[in-house]
Amino acid sequence: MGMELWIGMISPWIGGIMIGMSKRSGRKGIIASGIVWIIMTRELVKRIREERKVEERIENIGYEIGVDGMSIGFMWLTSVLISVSILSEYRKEKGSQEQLLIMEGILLEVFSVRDIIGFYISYEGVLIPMIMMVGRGGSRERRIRAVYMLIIYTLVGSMIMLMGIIVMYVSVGSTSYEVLMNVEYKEGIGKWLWWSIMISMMIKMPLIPVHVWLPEVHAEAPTVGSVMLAGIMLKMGGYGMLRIGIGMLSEESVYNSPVIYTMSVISGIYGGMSTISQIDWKKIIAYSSIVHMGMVGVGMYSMRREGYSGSIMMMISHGIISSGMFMIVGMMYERYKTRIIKYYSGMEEGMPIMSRIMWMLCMGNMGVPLTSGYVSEMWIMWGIMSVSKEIGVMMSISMILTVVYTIWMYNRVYKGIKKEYIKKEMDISRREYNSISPLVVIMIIMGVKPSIWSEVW
Amino acid sequence: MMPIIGGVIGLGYGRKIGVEGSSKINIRSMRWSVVLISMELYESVIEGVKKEVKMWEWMREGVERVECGVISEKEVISMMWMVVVVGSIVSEYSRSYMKEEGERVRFMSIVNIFIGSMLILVVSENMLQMYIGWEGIGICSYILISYWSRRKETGKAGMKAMVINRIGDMGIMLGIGKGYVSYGSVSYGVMKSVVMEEDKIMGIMIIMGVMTKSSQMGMQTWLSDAMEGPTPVSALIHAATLVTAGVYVVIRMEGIIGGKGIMIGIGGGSIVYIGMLGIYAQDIKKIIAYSTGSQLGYMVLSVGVGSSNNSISHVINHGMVKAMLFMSAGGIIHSRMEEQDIRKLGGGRMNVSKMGVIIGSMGIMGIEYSSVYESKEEIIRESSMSRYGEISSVMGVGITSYYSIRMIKRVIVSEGKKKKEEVEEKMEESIMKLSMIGVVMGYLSKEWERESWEMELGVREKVVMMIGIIMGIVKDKIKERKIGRIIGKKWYNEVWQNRWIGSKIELMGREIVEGIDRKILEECGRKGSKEIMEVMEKRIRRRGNVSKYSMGMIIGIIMWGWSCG
Repeated sequence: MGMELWIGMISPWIGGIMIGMSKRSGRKGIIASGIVWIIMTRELVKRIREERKVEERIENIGYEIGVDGMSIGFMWLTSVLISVSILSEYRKEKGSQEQLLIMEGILLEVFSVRDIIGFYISYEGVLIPMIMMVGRGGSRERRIRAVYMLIIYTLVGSMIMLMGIIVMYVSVGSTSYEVLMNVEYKEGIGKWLWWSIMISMMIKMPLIPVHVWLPEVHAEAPTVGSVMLAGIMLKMGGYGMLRIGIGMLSEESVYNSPVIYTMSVISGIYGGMSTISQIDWKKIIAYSSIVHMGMVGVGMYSMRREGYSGSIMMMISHGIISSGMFMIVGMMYERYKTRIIKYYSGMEEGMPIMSRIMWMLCMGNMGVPLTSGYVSEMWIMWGIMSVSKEIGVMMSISMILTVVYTIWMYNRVYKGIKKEYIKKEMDISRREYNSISPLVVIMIIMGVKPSIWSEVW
Repeated sequence: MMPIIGGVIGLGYGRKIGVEGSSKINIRSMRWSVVLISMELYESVIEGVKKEVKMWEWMREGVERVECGVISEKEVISMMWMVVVVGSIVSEYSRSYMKEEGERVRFMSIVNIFIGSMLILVVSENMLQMYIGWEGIGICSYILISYWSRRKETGKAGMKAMVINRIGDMGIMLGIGKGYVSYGSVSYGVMKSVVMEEDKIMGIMIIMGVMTKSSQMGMQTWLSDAMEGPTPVSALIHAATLVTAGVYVVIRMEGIIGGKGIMIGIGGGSIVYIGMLGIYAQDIKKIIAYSTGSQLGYMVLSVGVGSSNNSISHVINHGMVKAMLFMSAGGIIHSRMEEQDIRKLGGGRMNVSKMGVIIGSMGIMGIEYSSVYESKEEIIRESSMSRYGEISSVMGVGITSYYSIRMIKRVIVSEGKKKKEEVEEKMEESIMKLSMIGVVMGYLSKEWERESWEMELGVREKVVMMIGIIMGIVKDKIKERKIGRIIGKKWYNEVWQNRWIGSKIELMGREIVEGIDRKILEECGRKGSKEIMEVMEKRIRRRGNVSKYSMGMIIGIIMWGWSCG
């Protein structure tokens, strides 16, 4: 079945190049991303039905690519989010579709490549379309500063990671995942390797002391940029932690797990508190993703099966929920040209459908049962409670804070009396509805029947 | 076991048909579930059948399979019966109460979903399914409390209810986690079979959930604010469903969780603590709300002393009576143009709503031959196991009778301005139905809830109750003395919640953002790196050849790698 996967990998590139050569974008982007989505969904369904744990590989293109249970979830998430955001960007300038498709190509490579150098290259390569997206599509002058921060933070991290990768190559003699997974390092080196790779991943996740770039970039990015950033870019960090941190340096990970616990708990509580005091809508969601990523870190490093599947579930569900919220914010921004929450009030009367959709997404964000957020929180909680009760209690504080700011946000914007700034109202249009409803449906399916997903990884 | 589906599905169709059609469908689905559950009740209580039906597998993780299903036992079915009976009568009532409001479709459907998720909570066999219902009623209560979204207070009250309840939800969630870790399962049956000794930490976690949901001592603030919602909602939330959920969960988990002493402490404490608040309240709905809180104290206390049968019968009896009381208070308020202050409610002719207030208050006080009397008396007798519980429950009788009598006197006996009163027949009808059930229930409940039966209220309680009644009649104007001032400020409870915790957290958040995020991290990260780069650049420029340096750097990295390897 290598052929199908190969088509899936190559079609975004073909689509992107074709859009670049033609004058208008037309439907090419939709077709290309649709092909990828169909292939990824087939792959997922195949895995669910046959319970196939073995991976599929293509080896005759110079380096290996392959899909296994760990990466299929992320690849599927990528295909879903890219097609959704191409749908929402339809009829706009061709540049954004092109960027999205190229980004999809690189992201699929990040999750499917079976070689650590290839991983590094594509991990950095995602930055290029991202920078283009934020730098060109942002709404304010401050975007240059945001791009600057994005580059500085992530590049510093990846420089350190590059050193680690070189050391790995030198001491093992191979860069393939299969070889690296079964290697034990010498006492001193392993520790340094873990740190060098984890720093980069922490910046990408982001955990607390190195999170400053995220809200800044979110606030300046256009809607699609935010969707990509929160939906997939952050998950690259989590995926790297799983693949390289736990997969290849497992002993060091066990040894260093208190570090991750501490950082994750701090980012949960600290992130929650700083979310409460934000007034920019996009920054609220950005900080909320820091909180959720903290939970992911805790679940992953609990080293239990429950925590592990909970953290993957959390990443995918957060990708879907926060992208949906960002899209709603984008719709509101298109209508009223502001993201400051204080200007909104009482929007529920004028736009009932949109407020219901936002309410469902908010419930997902809070972790109400029968949405995907709850399932992942529950599993992470099971995982962490078997390690230590105290950390569980601390994580639950951050969950309380999540409710506080989510409800607060919804209350301020959609309830109350209408402000005088708001002259006319327009409920959600058909195109917007079509682009956002898949996310809500996926969120609910994942919540009602989570076991079909958790069987896969 | 159709009723759950019947209850929940009412919504799905409700949105497509018009306003009238949807409310009809909602009410009919409720009635059908009453009929079905009554049949079940007959089966399980009279014939003693125990059933268990598995419906769908929710999640599968590791060794644990969480299967949602339905069980029917005596306690479960009688609780369910209470919920649907109150629910159906309330939804009929609200059809006429909310006649003039907009968005009635949403209101009626959310009420139905509320009842549906309460049923899910009640019938569940494992803790996760219970949690679906638990969160579901929380969300629905937020929507219902902030239903009049144009008023600013409603949004705030809804948010308060949500946030305070969320603290308890986290307790339950931690409890589920602890249970999973220590017993390896989340099902009640499996846990009960595995249990070696009662798990105290899990008990504390679950009790945290109970405290917030059942509005026990210290966490009762959301309950009185929740009165901002429409009256049928307060009848639903306070009487039948939401607040009893906490007590019900503890009853189901008896034998698994420890911490009975804490339960006695909290229950006995809140009987007095919240009851005292009722003395000083002037809003008719708030008085009833506080009285609910103190009655819930009795229930928790009775679980604590180990007689959960009494507790559940008190839940059922109290639910009926309290819903009726709320509905009749709603009738009075509705006929007086939304006036809620009891000092202005006096006067006027006697009508069904006022009769309802009298019957309900008598019931809550525990006058003999009312239904609540029987369960309450039993609880007081059982609570003599612990000194503390005994004292507080006897004091509770006095306090309850004081504020009930005061309310009756103010609303009915005393004279006020005579105003035009409009009475809705449909509302009266439903009040009458529920009051009939409330009176009869007592005799029915003794048939199935209890083995031994003693018709004896201790002299002590009678004396205390008489004192309360006399005080209520004679001294109904409250002077603000020292202790009165403390209680008048609601024990400074909201003050510490808001000022010490709420605003502290917000302030801390702001300080974090401005102090750490914007200053330290940004200095170190962005500006710092910029400065370093500038300095580096200058030096390199001064020395000259850039390419040499970069070559050197690459070679250096590779050499470092070699040396490590």
